[in-house]
Formats: sequence, structure tokens, C-alpha cells
Amino acid sequence: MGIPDVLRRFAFRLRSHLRPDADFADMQDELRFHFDREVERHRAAGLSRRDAEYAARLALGNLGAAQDAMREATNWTWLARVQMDLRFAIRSLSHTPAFSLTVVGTIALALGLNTMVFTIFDAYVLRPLQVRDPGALHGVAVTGRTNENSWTDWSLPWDRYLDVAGLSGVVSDAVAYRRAFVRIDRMPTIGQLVSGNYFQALGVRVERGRPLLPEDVSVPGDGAVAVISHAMWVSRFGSDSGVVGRTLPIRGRPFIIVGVAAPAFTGLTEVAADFWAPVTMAAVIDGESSQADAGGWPAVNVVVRLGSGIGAQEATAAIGLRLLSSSRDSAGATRVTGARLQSRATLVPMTAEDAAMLTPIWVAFGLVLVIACANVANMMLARGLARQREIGIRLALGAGRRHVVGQLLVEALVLAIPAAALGFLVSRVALAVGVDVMMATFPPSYASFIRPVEMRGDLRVFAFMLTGAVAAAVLFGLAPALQVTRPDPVAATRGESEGGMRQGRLRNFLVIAQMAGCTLLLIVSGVLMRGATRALVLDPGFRAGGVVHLEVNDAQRRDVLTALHRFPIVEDVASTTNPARGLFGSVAVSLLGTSQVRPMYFTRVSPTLFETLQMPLREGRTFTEVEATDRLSVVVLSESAARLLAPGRSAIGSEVRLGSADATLAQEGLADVRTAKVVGVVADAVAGIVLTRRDVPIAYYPADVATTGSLLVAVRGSVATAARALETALERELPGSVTAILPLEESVAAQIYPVRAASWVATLLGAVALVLTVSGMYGVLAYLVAQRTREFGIRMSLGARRGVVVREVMGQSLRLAAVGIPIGLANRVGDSSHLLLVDAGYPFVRSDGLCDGCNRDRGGKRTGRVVAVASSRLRGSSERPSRRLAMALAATREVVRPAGSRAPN
Amino acid sequence: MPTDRRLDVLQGTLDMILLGLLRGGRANAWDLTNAIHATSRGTLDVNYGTLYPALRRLESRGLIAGKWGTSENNRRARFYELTASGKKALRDERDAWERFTATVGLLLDSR
Repeated sequence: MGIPDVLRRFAFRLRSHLRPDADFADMQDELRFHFDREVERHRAAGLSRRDAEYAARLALGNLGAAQDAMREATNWTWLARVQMDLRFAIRSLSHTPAFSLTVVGTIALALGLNTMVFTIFDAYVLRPLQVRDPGALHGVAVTGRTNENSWTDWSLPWDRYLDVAGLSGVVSDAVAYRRAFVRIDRMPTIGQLVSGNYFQALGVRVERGRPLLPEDVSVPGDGAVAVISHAMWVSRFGSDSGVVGRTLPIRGRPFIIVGVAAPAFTGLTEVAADFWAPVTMAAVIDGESSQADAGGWPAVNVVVRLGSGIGAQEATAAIGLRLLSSSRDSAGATRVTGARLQSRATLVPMTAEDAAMLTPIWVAFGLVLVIACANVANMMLARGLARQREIGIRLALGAGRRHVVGQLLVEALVLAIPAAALGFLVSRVALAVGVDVMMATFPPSYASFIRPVEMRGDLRVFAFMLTGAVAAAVLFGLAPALQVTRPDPVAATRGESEGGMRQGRLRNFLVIAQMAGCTLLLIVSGVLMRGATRALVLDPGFRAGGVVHLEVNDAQRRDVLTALHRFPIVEDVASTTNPARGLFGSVAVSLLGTSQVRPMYFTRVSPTLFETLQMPLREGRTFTEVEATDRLSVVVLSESAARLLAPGRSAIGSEVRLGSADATLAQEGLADVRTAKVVGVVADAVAGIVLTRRDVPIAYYPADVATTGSLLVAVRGSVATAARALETALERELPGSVTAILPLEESVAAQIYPVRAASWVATLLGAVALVLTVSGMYGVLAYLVAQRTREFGIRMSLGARRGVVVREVMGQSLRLAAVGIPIGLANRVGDSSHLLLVDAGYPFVRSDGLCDGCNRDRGGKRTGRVVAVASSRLRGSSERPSRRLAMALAATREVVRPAGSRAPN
Repeated sequence: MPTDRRLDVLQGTLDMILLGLLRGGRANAWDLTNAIHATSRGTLDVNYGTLYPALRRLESRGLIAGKWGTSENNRRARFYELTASGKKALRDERDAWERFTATVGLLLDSR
């Protein structure tokens, strides 16, 4: 069919729909013309005008019916019908404002919570970065293998970055960045040290001034300029229009501000950056740790823009090949195997596995929506039954069932759309409150690193809401609509609405579904709450209280140490390469003379660390100062490591060999340590995140506090006060020396925080589900009881005792619970929440720690408690209707009795 | 058994008949009625109730296009003509019709 015909067709229908009056007039005109011609014909044949008109009418048939048929023929009558349905729905719903508001409120709450989750998801995962053609951007990682372990490293040496950037046929641009944490006027600040082409290649606008340019980033150690973020411009410089040319003191060096980035751009990573500075300043900003062997150029994260027509697979192969060939000549046992590319079109790149990991969250929130819909479906059902007479009359008058169902669905939509609008408000409020709560409850030293991105209600959120609203309308509207349009019109017009078998079944199903969903959510929140409680009292194997984690400028490190020892509040100073954050590196270790190789975590610590962190020595001794400074080949093992290497005997005095010298080892300065003598065994502690298991094997190698690792300072008195005092004193004596200062216990709290937050969210969801379920059950049971009042009245008048009837109603609800609760339990959320934690980056969730509850208690105590809670709740919600029933019955008996007693007369 | 000489137009065939008549050029509904009456020598008869809905249907399907014009007696009348898709539809329906009648004929003659 040609395009013009399609258009003509559409225009025709549109006209008949939009201008029905004009269309109708045309139709009449046409028919009138026909009629007149017919009359003329008969007149010509000699009939009188009257007879001619009569004959014409006879020949042409029913005019009105013809017009109706013509209108039907245009096909768009359904649209007109929807409009009528809409008007009718709005009218009939406004007659029952309490019902309408309850429905809207219920759906809005559930939809709002879901929208909140989606908005967060959208902001991080779906919203494209504010750069030119974000779809072509890909992060580049080098993949490799060490022993049997394959690894992926997103941090590339500078030379590899140049290699990748040189593949001009494959990538059109390659930018490099590395994150830097600094303190500017005691404010923790996040910077991105970037390559010279960063702004231009990404196509990022600057609001004022100029972007960083390649000439700013040419010589290592040079280029003390910076572009600041819009947020920093507002907060730190008060939106000063003359900010360009002012300076930013970073590590005691003044960086000249050359520009302010556009407000929408916060960098390529999920944590918003405060400033961008040349990567050539890495040595100044990061100190020694960033120094690689590339002549002062540091390791960087690389993002490429693929050339036009180049697919990700093709690019992965080409880049992999380049990385492979260039790493051949570099020494070491690390085998590079290729490259990995990941889309960087949004803040958080998401793979299928990541998305799968989020499933439990979606399910939990989705469940609340389903419970809300079940609630409303029940209300709609009750309302539908009350309207059965009206519906019956309409059916009896010849309305098609399809039309009546359609009308009821339109009513559901009329409720769902304002619910979506209100839900949007709910989501905005929930987001704002959520961010505030998080800021208020997060460990204060870390709170400044939390930078929620702007949560906008954009087109995707709108589409999500609309889909959600329509889905909800169908969920809560369709089943009741089908249900109430089923009955026999004759009975319905007489006002008899016997809730038949099917209605009862639907209602029971809805109640059971609610119970099951609610039970599920309560269990999840129970497990997570317990996990959070336990996390707070978990013993990670070291003390976190009374210790300050201090990061200092390498150049001033020795002066800082001297100063620290002078301060009276300082008890002790130690250092470690893993100050209770991040996971330890791992290495294959074997006992000399045996072939068995054991994978182990390793870290480097100063001799005083064990004492500072109060990790008890089980055997042997710790390092001596000499061993630390001269990096002698000695090692202290954790109890588990000792057991693993020398089961059943003392490991002291044995020699251990490091499996291979890989890149991680080199980074930790252990490349030359081939064998080491075991001098001591210390108690077990976690290797990194505090929620992980404690009984992991760890090898502690010596480090010199004067040169290596983060400083851990044991202080007297309150840690917060001490930290402030330390920083003040150090800033006074050695300006710019402190780059980070954090109470260690706050680091621990920050690690536990996700579990606590998850438990709060789960509790909130559980509470909402509980309220919805209780109110839903109450409604259903009250309705059921009201419906059966007549039956009960008759039974009681026949001699049934009040207790029997009450028991029966209770029994009915408990039977529903007896089905619903086990279904909820059967989902074994204990396991799934456990999996969630494991997935969420806690790979060694301890068997004695967070999650044993879900194993030990499954089918046991917890289940019992949940059942008790659920059934007491159920009792509560059916007791009141029962009691009201009893009161109603008393009245009924009065009415029925005299009637009954009169009967024999 | 006496049968009425006038046949009811089979549902669906009227559309085809109208398309077929319009192949000869544009015409108004009155002309079409007369044409059907005359061509079928009074065998087929259509009234308002079938003709106009059929025209509307065809127009809303884009097979014919209606335009207001002036009739030979200088009255305002609506004239219909075939569209490109109408011509194609006519060809298709004609083929189908021929196959159908041929088949029905075969079946009727088979004994």
C-alpha cells in the first residue's frame, strides 16, 4: 500500500473522530442527496411528491440505522468508547473518594519505592555520560595469568597507554586518568589526574576558562594547573566569576585554576571529581606510590573512543594483540593474555552478571508493588461485587462483556495514573530523605567521599513509571474485572450477589499471595537485620578503636614520624601496606623442601603493627627493627597459615618460598624476596574487609615504618579529638604533609555500612509490606464477614453459638495463612540473602559471622518466630471483624428471634 | 419453491462489486446504486443500510477516496474513486473470487 493511501486513510479516520459533528453533517448531506435523487426519479415517473417520498423511503430503508452503521464502519469507535469510559470512570470514582484515595495512596507508595530504585539505577547505569558520543567509549583493561589465576587489571602502565593510543586505526582517541585523594584545607578532595587530550577527546565543555590542553601535560613534574568541577566552584569559590587564575593548594603546591567544567560533567567514574589536573603532576600529588619506571609517568586507567565502524570485539582483539606484543619484552613471570573492553557510555558499566546480581533488590521492591496490587485488587473486587447490580443491568441491556471489562480496566487506569504521579513525588521525597539519612549515618570521615550523582526524573524514569502504572492497573484491575462481569445478569439485576466459588478462590489466592510475599520480605529483613547487628560486634582480629589511619606525603614522611613520636597523645606508630581496607594481594607460598604450594594473602607490616593493633602473638617473635629496615627475609604467619603449611607442628624456624614474583609482589616491594624464615605466628585476622572470614592464611612480611605503608597511629583519649589534634599539629609544623587522616574504626564502620543500609532498606520494605498486608487482610475479612452476616444470623438463630462462628472466621483466615506463610518460607530467602552478600563483594562471608543465621535457623527458630509473628498479625486483623460480627449478630438475633418465635403461631 | 428474483448481496461481495464499478471512473453513491440495479437487471438491490456503510468501510481502509463535487443536476454530491491500493485490492479479490466460483462450480458439477 502506498504511503499517500495510508495518510489518506488516517486523515479520514482522524476527521471522523475529531470532528464527529461535521462528519455527521456530511453523512446526512450525502444521504439527503441520494434521497432527493430517488424522489426525483419517482416524480419523473409521475408520482405525486408525497408518494415519491414514500416510495424513496421504502426503497432506501432505515435512515438512522444506516447512519449508525456508517459510523461503526470507520473503525475508531473504540476510541470514542474509551473517552466515554474515561468520563464514566472519573465520575463514578469521584463518588467514592475514600476508596479512590486509598487505592491511589497504596499504589503510589509501592510505585514510588520502585521508582526510587529505578531512578538510582538510571542515574548510574542508564544515563549516558555528558560527553560527545558516549556510546563509543570503552574502558581498557589488560588481562593476564599468574600461575593458575587469571586476572584483569584496569590500571595500565603509561607505556601501555601510549601503545593503545597509537592504534589509530582502531581507536580514534584514548584518554588516561587516575584518581587522586588529597586534602585541600582539610577537606577530603577527589581529583582526576588526566592526559592532555582528556577534555577535547571526550568533548567536555568548560563553563568558563579553558580545558586542560596537551601542552599542560607534557613534562612529568610540570603543569600545576587545574580545571575545577562546577560543584567545587560553587561550594569552595562561591561561584566567583574571577575564579580563573586563582589557585588551589594541593599538597602544598599552588595549582592555577584555568577553567570550570560544565555542571553536567563529573568525570568518568561514579565518584564525582572535584578537580582535574595534569597526570604529569602525579608524583607531586600521589608521592612515591605512583612512580613507575616510565620516567615519572604513572599507571593510569584508559578509556578509548573506538574508531567509526570498529566493533568492540574487533577492538579487543587488536588492543589485546598490541598489549601482548609490548609486554613480551618486560621481565617477570606475569603473563599478559590480552585485553578486555567495557563500555563506558554510563557512569557504571553493567554486565549481565552485574545486572543479575541486582535481581534480589528488584524482586524485593517488585514484591512490595505486587502486594500493593493484591491489596487494591481485593478492594476492586469488593467494589465490583457491590456494583454487581449496575454491571448486571449493563450486561442485561446488551453491553458486551468485553466492553464492561474494558470499562473496569479504564477505571483501574484512571486510578493508576494519578497514583504514578503521586508515586513520583514519593520517590523524590524518599530519595532526598535517603541521601540525607546516608550522609548523616555514614562514618563522618568518609561522608565527604559520598557524592550521589544528580537523581533526575528523566524520560526513562517517566517511561518506567508509566509502564509500572499500567502494569499495576492490569495487575489489580483485570482479575476483578473478569470476575465481576461473569455472573448471570438476571440474578445480578435482582441484587443477588452470591460470592461464588470462583470469587472466593480469587480472593483466597490474593490473600495467600500477600501473605507469602510479606513473609518473604520479613524474613529478608530479619536476616539482614541480624547480619547488621552481628556485623557491629564482629571481631575482625585486630582492634580498630583508638587507632588513627594516617596517610602522609612521602617527601615529608620522616619528619612526620619524628614529629609523631614527640606528640604526647601518640602511643605508638606502625605501618602496613593494607590499612584495613581493600583485599590483600595473594601469592603462592610453599614450605621449603615440600612441593605443596598454598595460596596465601600477604601484606607488609612494621614490627610494631601487631602490638598497635593488639594482634596477640601466638608463637615465636615479631620482627626486629633491623629486619624491617634491612628487609631481611623473615616472615610472620597467621595461625591459619601456619596450620596450613605445617599441620600439627610448629612452623617456627621453617623456610618458606614465594611461588613466583609477579606484578603485585613487585608493587609491594617483595620482588626480591624469594625465601623467608618463619619467626612468629600471630592470631588470625581478616585479610581486608572486616566482614570476611578471619581464618584465612596470611603471610606478614616486614616493612620499614619510615618508608613503607600507611601509618597507623595508636592514640590516647578520644580518637576523633586525637585525629583533629594530630592534623592541626602536623599542618602547623609540616604544611601539606597530611594527605588523609581517618579513625580506623570509621574505616571498619564504612565497610559494615552496606550491610546496615541493606538491613534498613529491607526493614522499611518489610514494614510497608506488613502494613499493606494487614490492611488488605482486614479489608478482605471485613468484607467477607459482612457478606456472610445473613448466613451467620440464620445459623445463630438456629442455635449456633457465638464462639463457633468466631472460630470459623478465624479458622478461615488461619487456613489462608497456613498456605501463604509456607510459600513465603519455601523461597529460602536465607540462602538468597546470603548469596546477595557474597555477590556484593564479600566473598568470604564468615561462617561464624554474618550469615550463619540463615543456615542454622532455616526451618528452626527463625521460621517459628516468623510463623508466630505472621499468625498473630493475622489474628489481629481477623479479630476485629469477628468482634464486629458478634455485635452485629446480637442485633440480628433480636430481629430473627421474634420472627422465629412468631412462626409457630 | 418460488424464489425471490432479487438476491441479497453476499456480505463481502458488495465491497468487491463497488470497487469493480469504480474501476470505470469516479461516481457518486446514487450512480452506484443505479449501476448495480441496472447491470444486474434488477437481480441485485442495495439500500442505504448496506451501501453507505460499505463505502465508509472502503474509504476508511483507504481503498477508495471520496471528494465533494457537483452532480450533473448541479447538486453537491460526494464522488468516489479508486485509490492505488483500491486497484490492487480489486485485482486480488477478483482473483480470489474467480478461484472460489471455479471451485464451487467444480464441486456442484462433480456429480
